[in-house]
Amino acid sequence: MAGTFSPTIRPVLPGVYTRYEAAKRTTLPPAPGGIVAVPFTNDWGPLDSPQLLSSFAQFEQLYGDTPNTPGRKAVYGAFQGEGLEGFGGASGVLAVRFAGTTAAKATISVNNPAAAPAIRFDALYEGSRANTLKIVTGPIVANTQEVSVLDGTVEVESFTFLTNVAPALATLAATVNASSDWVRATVLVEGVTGLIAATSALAAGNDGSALVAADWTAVLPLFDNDDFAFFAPFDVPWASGAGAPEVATRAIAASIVGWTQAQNDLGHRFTTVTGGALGEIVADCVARSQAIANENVITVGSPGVDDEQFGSMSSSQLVPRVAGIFAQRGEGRAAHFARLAGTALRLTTGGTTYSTSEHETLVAAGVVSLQRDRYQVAPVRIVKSVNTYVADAALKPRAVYGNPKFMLSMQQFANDAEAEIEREMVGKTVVSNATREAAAARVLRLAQGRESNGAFQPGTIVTPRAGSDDDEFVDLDVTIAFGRALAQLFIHGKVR
Amino acid sequence: MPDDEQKQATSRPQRARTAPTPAEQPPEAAVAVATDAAPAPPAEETIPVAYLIPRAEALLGVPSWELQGALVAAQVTDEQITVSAAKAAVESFNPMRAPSSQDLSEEA
Repeated sequence: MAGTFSPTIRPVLPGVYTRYEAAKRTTLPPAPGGIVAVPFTNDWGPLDSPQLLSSFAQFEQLYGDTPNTPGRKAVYGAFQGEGLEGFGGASGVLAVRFAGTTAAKATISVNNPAAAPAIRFDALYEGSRANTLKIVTGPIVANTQEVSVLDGTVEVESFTFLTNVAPALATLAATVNASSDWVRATVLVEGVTGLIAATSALAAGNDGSALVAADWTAVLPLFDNDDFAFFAPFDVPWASGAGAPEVATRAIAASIVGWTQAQNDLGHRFTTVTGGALGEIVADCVARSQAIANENVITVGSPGVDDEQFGSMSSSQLVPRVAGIFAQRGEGRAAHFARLAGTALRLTTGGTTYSTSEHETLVAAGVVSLQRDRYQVAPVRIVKSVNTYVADAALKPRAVYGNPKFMLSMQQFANDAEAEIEREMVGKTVVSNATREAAAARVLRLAQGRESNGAFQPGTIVTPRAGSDDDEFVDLDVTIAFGRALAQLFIHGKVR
Repeated sequence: MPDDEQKQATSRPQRARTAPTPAEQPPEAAVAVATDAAPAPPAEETIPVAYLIPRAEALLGVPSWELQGALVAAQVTDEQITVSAAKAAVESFNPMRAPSSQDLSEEA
């Protein structure tokens, strides 16, 4: 019973001494298979900078808490997923805020006692969120002046500086710029008389939410180098109309689909989720799926929903939420019957709902449609998990390539195998039979992990092919049978 | 003076009063027009869109996916397209691809 000890003042008596320290908490990043990547516009937050968020609280810290911004709807939806106990959404969101050319930082200049603009305060980020900020300069007391930043009527930051020590304003600006979470300061005219006592409101902050094709072509490559399983471009409502807005949106959607395929071809594997306009009819959903026709792209088809938090939402605005559902269901489960809690289905522009036969048409056309049923807790649900690949080529059957669960498994299995072999073996081992066996064992272990979670059926076979040790590669044959998620149950009743 | 030259000399005032139609122009006048004008460029070859898209990076200097969006924006439905028409579609889709924009951004 020697008790605790101090390494600097060592105990006198012999014995075993024990002490404990709190270790830094380890935060594991979300696994790539559960990450949804979301580009969005917003009224605050870093622009054009990918941020991996592991909770919605992180979104609010970085991007603010303004209700109903596109960014909030998108990221909330991705994390929300089904919104039911045990059935949420993405485990992580790779967020990128972007903006059109009208984006601007809110700004204000504060005068010195000579009525000349002496220092300018710019919002830290572009966007209208900062239009609620005010700079309050207090009176000079004993050569000291206080400058406060108010968010509406709440003081969020305060700085003091000596007005009689040159360079007074430069010192103030340096203090502000080193620590402010809201503004950056630029000295316009230096002086030793401080600033006038006043309240000055920042103005002219602009979200830049009017996006054109060039904005999308600029943001897509920002996602090129990060791992995620689903890409969810918020609010790109593909519609079949001949008007200029419809054509422009279809063009953006086409470039997103083209980029998705190009990235998958390069080994950056993921699935993109797309959607349509509010009130869309079945023909539009089908036309969209036919125009996309890609095993790496899912399209949601629905007139949209009324969301209890965000109001009306089109299927293209539900894209992050649906992507979150797919991410949460993962490789082991399908998204059939996944619920969208807190929503009610809207009607089409013609005032109708989709009929059962229209849902059958949509499933056949590769559309993830939304249907209402009698389940009271969350009556809106996904009908069937399908993607837009409906061709049935001999070497590329729809039964495999048209199934998002299987596609996710193929993408993530290849990603994992690449990552492990590149990290552990490429460049580090010589070509030999031992290397062939070692590579096969590593790939088999990755497959067996998937067998245990239902992604693969048991019995994956990995066989190294015979080859020459004079070559710089080895070949593996891998035979996989995907686990099938239950879609139908037939009850053969006998009644008397 | 040969007979031919006499005929031309006497006919000149009449030509000066009214501009001749192309059909009325003597052969030598037609030759003069053709020599003054720049030679007509050869018709640009059209290539299959399906061939162009995967080679957009090499032929147009843009990613294939950007060309795909540009073709939808330009409502190109033909299976064949010229490189210059594809370039124009890309520059319209993304004005940052226009040469003037690139010059400006390089200067900046």
